[in-house]
Amino acid sequence: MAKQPDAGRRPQVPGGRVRASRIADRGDLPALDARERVLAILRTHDDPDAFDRLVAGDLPMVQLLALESAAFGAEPAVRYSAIAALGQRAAAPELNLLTDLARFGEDFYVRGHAVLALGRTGSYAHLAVIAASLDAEDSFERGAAAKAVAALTRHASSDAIMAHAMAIGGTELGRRVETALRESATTRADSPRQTSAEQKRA
Amino acid sequence: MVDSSAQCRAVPQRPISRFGLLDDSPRQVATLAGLDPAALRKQVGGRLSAATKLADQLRVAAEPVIGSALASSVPAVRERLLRTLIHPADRRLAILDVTPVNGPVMSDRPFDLRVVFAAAALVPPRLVSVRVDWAGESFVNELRLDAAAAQAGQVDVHFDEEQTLPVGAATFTVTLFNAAGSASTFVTTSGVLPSNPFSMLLGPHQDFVTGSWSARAVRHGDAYDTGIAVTLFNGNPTAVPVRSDFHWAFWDGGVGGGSLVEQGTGSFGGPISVPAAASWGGWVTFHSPSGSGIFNKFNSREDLAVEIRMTRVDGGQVSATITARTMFRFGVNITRVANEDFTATERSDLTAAAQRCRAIYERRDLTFDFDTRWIAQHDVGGYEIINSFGEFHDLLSDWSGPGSNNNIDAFVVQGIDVGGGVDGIDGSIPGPTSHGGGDSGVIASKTGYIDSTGARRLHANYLGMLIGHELGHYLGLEHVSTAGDLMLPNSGENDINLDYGQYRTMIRHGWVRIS
Repeated sequence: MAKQPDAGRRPQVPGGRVRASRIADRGDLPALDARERVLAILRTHDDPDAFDRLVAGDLPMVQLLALESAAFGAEPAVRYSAIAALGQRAAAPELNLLTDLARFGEDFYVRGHAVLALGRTGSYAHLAVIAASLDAEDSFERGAAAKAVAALTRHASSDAIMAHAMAIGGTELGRRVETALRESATTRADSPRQTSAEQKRA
Repeated sequence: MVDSSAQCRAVPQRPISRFGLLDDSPRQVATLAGLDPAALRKQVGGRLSAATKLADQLRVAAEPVIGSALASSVPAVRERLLRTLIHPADRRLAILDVTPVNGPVMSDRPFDLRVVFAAAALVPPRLVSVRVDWAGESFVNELRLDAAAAQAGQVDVHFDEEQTLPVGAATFTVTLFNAAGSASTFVTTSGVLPSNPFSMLLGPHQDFVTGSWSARAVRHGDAYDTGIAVTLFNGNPTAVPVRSDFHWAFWDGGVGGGSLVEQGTGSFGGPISVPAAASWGGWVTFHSPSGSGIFNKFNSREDLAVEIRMTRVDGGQVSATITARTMFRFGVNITRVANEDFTATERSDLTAAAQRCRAIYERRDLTFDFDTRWIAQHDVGGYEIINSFGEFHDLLSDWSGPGSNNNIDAFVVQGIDVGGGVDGIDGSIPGPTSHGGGDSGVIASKTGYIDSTGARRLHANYLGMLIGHELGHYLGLEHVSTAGDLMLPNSGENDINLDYGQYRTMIRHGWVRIS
């Protein structure tokens, strides 16, 4: 190990390794500071309590980020995180935006993440919107809807959810919700299973 | 004494101003205000009369999501309206393309980048920020946009005498902001051509990479293989013919000043012509069997300097050098969870993400091999979307194990919904050196999206960083607060640094071995 690479060594670069940065004044663009602050929270990878650091004044920026489209050059992970954050601030403006995105979002990823966030609110007032995605074309959106229905059971009985499903869409929707509850549950394997290998040593 | 040998091949080159594998493609986004019905029809499809009606409805709508929903009840049309149009009251904006002005970027000369964008007149862009990643330290160039530039839909960012670049590749990450705080980002890479005007650059080749711009010698049985990418850059206005044969030499110590270990010749076979204002590329792999001088040096952990020399048909010579060395490595199983939910493009993006992740580690002279694996959708059950930490551990218990050797299991799931800011999870810090149990592996959310052409994509730059962050935990790294570090709790796609202390921690993990 003694002669292993000098990990700090970097190649010689013609003209030196440093170039001058030119930073523009942002004094009249306060929204950019707000964006940086909110991004630092939304980009958190593995802290389930991270969104607790969001304050009321951050919510307009969270809403803005929840609307930014990857097709326009936004980071999808940030958008999905913003959508999840809206679900933890269950006031009318956030819930309305989540409902908009769940119904009319521009792709199944956006709709699926919005549906998951609605499920996490725990309120079966959103059951109609969530249930609409149980029949989605893409499996991610369908899976998200099933998980969202299951998430509602953390705050309400399965019977209550079934009753509301039947009130919205009759016995047919009741059956679909029942199926979703059953299929979203994970059943542990008796013994470890083997993933399939596609190719050896990329 | 056994001799080393060289194998080589020419490879197709990417366009000089779209040089990077992870570069963005130009976006098909337009501003509604600038479209007549015929153009709108072309943008979103459908009949002309319908497009006229759509345009009328969209122009009076407020928020784009609601506006699109009111304009069309057809989901596919609604989705395209949102993905491809900037609406009148839209706070979103989009960079459409970024290209060098007046031809390729030339070494040691000022240059301009043209940023073309689409934005609503009510919320014009106000600031453009360009981060430059090149062979040296990254730097930033920012510019405020005036009303004229905002109206023109494009702005040129000037790089002055103090910001010129040497020959090689430079990646520009361009972000455009408006006063509402909305942003759009575009990544593009330029090959910087020599002003002098012809030169050679050597780089690591594919699996044999190390990130400190060294070639990596890999032990295969009783031999070391060293791969080197050769790029000829031509800044001339005419093509330059080059002889296909080349001379190579390995030196212990500096080229010419140290001791010559081995040397030889090789040939790329056919005639070489480096096109005007463009590049030509090839690779050379050196095979050094046991007993050869190169083998003995690598086997005693010595670094070597490699020189390759080629000759232009007109007689002029061009040469370049690179360091070659062995390094530490580990293995990763990149496993797609719910395989059928990955399109061919998404699978390709996932491979690009794994390569991006590897490049991050190789910047700190640690590399990994990866096997691509998958779990079929009918087997996956509730693991498609992980919505509790218990479910994450169950996934590892069920699927990390038999037949997956001593690689770290990295599962890429369709989504993670455990509440709060979680898009990746590691079982424990450090992770175990055995499979089985609920801690043997990491997961990352796939970060899928639909681009402006309607194609399903993964954000390879971000996903590569995210997988790298979780692997860092598995190899023993805790969160840090150092700007730019991969292990920031909220690292972004450009936070890819690892320091020497982190390197020392990772190489002590039981699954990390000397290559």
